[in-house]
Amino acid sequence: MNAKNQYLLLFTGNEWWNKLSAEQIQEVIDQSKEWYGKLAAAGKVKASQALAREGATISGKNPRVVTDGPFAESKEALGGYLLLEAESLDEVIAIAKECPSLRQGTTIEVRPLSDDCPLDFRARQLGVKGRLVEHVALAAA
Amino acid sequence: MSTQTHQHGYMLIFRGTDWYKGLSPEEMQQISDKWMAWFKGLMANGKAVAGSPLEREGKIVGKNRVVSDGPFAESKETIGGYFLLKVNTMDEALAIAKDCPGLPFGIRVEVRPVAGECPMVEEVREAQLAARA
Repeated sequence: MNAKNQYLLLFTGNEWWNKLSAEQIQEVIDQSKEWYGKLAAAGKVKASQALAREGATISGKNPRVVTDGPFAESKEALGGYLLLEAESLDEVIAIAKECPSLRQGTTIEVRPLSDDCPLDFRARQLGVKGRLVEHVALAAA
Repeated sequence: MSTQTHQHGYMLIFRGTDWYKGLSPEEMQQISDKWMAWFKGLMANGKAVAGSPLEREGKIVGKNRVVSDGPFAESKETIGGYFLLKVNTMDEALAIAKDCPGLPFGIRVEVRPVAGECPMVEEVREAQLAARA
């Protein structure tokens, strides 16, 4: 499975919908449906899921929970993701720019899936030849 | 700790792209071997259904369509990769997260229950199926 044509769109936003009226929300929903519907119909959507507001962050040498949710109040909190298959990063940027909720305050981080882990990148910087990690990317079920 | 169940599973988000800076190639090899064994084990017993590292490049699209350019700075917050787990409880997801070989070196693992498809997305799918029928 080649990861190269797959891109992860990570949606963050601090619950902008709380500031909107029912009519305004309906409008964003209608626009978003149209945006997503076109992508789905074109076969570009590999996976898409929303994340619950709860959750936890694990950290440390003696691993423990350092943050307990809810995550939603934070501006940086991840609300969901969309995994797209596309020809290029430029194509995905163009798609992301059309996302209707951008205007409401959503931010989208667009990241290509990789064949390499970050360790490999660092290893190459240090002049290590070959790859530390065999290919690990797997399609979302 | 929550024992609430989530039928849609959990996402592990690996944060931190600066934790391996002080490591030797041998240490990195050791960690990546452990990491692969960890991931393969989870895939083999059906607890992980997907996972991938992310490229360092990328862009951020925001309000007013302002686009910031990658590559993403090496930082504690930058997401380096993710797993999707097919487990039913937060406790099980947390137990798996605690096995992450990067933890002793400063990586942080965010554990988030998947809420399932956005209702909006479900509706679009149904409309498309209906249109095809």
